[in-house]
Amino acid sequence: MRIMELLYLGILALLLLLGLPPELNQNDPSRSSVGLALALLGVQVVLVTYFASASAAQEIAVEGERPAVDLAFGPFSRRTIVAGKSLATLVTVVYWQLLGLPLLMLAMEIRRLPLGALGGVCALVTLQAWAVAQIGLLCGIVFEAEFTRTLAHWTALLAIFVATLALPDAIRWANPVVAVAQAAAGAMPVQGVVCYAALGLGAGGLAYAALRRFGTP
Amino acid sequence: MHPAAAYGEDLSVRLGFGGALRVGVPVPLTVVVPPLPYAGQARIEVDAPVLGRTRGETATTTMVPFTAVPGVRRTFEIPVQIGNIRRLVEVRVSIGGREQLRQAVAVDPQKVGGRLAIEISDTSSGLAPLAGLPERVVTAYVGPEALPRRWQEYAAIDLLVARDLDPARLDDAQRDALAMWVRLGGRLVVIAPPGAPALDALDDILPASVGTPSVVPSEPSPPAGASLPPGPYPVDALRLHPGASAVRAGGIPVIAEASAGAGWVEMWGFDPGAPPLARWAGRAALWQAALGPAGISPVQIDAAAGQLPASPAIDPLVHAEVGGAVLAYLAALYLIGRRGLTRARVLSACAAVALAVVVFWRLAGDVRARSTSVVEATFLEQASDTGIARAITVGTVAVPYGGHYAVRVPVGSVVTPVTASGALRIVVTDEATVLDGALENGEARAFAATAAVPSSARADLSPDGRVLRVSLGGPAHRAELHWGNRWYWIGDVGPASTITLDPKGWGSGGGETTSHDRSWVFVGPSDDAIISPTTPMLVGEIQPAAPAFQLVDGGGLDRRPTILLLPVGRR
Repeated sequence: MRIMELLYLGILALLLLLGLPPELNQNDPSRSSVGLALALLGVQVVLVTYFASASAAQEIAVEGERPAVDLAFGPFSRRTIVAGKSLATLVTVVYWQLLGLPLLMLAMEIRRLPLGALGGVCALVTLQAWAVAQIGLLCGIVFEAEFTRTLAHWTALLAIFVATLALPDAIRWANPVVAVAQAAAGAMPVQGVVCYAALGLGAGGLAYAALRRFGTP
Repeated sequence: MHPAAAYGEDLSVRLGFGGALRVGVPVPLTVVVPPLPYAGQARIEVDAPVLGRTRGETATTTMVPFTAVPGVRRTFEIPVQIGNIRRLVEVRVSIGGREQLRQAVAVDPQKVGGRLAIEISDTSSGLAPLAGLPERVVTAYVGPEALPRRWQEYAAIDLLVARDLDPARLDDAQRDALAMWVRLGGRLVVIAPPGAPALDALDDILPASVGTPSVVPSEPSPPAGASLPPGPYPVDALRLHPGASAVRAGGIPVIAEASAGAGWVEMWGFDPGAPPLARWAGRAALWQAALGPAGISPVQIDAAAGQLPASPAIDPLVHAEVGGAVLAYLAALYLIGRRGLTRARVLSACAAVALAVVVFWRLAGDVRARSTSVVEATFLEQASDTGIARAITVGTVAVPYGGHYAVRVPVGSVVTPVTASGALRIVVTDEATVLDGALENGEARAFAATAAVPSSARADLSPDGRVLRVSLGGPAHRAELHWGNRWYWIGDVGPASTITLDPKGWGSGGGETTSHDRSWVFVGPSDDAIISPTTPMLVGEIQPAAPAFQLVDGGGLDRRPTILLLPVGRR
């Protein structure tokens, strides 16, 4: 297991253990009753999204994985490269979600939070992480310099996770953490799902177009 | 039309004593299920409305499971507690999961009293003088069949009058419940005019036996302040039991009275509803004396519940267990993946995740169950000169993470919520009573279970008030002698002890002192509110008996020392 997975699971486990005392999750009708599990979900969406997009943007080197630009000089078509990278990102996100699932389930089941929503929440987190990772893929193709690439990647992350908090309440679902909170509370933000799916597909399309400059068929 | 109505009779429901009841105390609800053409597992559900903290309608549901036999009439007596008299009490009978009968019973506000006087009589008359008393006394008349079979269901009654009572019309359970209630503090007046049936079955608690018919002679000038009017009128010359005192008319013992344990029993050898007593001006005073002062329990249950911790400490092993399981999960993943990922290792990691899901699922249930807890404290009120005591156990249930709880209370106890509770189901069976409910995290719910237990402790104070002799059957700790708001620290007491009291040793007020390690009931936020003795009483901590509340799914039980409340006699 790589250090990234250990770090990810370690953070989730630490949060779970720190949140165990029941008095930390007292019932407060003025707030969401999801409490600790929501905190874990929020942290999970941030970590999974970051690690997935950082890997796609080559900000984090993953053993055995070659950058999209290197593949462009190989015998692969643009479609194969983008689809393959996209699929690899999706598998990675699912893998990370699976690793964190037992911890999430423990946190939710101790407090008898509805596990029925967990499937939908996991699917939403997967979609969000995949969509943002597609932006990372785009950055990896468009920006050759490491500094520029990292700057662009972090700008995108800040825009998605921080700037969206300034949006009006009606479209606050654009923020991944807010969208996950809504889904955990049983109100899946359909607009958010559509928006992130479009973002992922759009970034993938742009990555496909960007590969043309390498002469890839 | 209801499906079962076609078969004939409908459900018959009797609430309280002829409809009379008091709010917040257990009263009997008798349900007669008519013969039905169905067999199978059945249940009666009674929704007793309560004034809850939550919005909307809340009710405490009492459920009695039974096996339905086609064509057989069944009668059930169910203790219920009414908390909201504005709404209907709903009774439903279901067989095989399908509702067959339903009836709603209204509570008549005119029959809800501050004090209750019930007469067992075939004629609805006799208690009219009590209605004129300044306190709101509700009177009602019932037949012997309405008498409960659980002594706790008499809790609403301040005075029970037995007129025309033929003990042969009571079954053993009714006789035992009546005698137990009297011994544990009930007030009973037995009217036995000439010709009344023998009352041998209740002889143990009566102050006299039915004697010979006689006539009170006329007195041209009765003495001023006479207890009874001058004759002539027929009476029964009562044969007094040892220890009973008598009121005589014309030299004939016509009223016998004596305490029976903590209770009080009077026997009247005349009919107060017959002339000349029916027109006698002094009859209201006679009835008022029989009713006695309003009984105040020495144990204030709400105060005791308030003193118990609502959120007891969670077993630290619970958290260690979770921490260990999480670490084991991380270690397993690390060991599997430390040398890179192969297909076999990926499959192993997936197996580890699947195993962790199952283990953590069970672990979560275990954590919840082990965190759920009951804190209970028992108060043992000894009935003087008897071998029984009333055991009131106050228990507080807490589910720290929120969720379901199930608490079992042994048979023989009647359990009621201390505060109004919706989302509560009380399942009453022949083996136990189970309280089944759900709590939010941070919430706690208090219950009180009342039972009679064998106990023969006694304490006697010498006539000069200097020497206290106690016989407890076991040691007591942190004992104090209480008299009004004054108390005398005694400390540890042996099973049989003689204690010399120093007149200067009396203190007053509640609360903690630096000189004495007082019992938990006198220390804390409710220090002077839990115990309110109106007569001399020895209060001490004794070894607790079996717990009254047990969590069905496991969990913590924290027991405060049992508090013995021992009335002190002057001998």
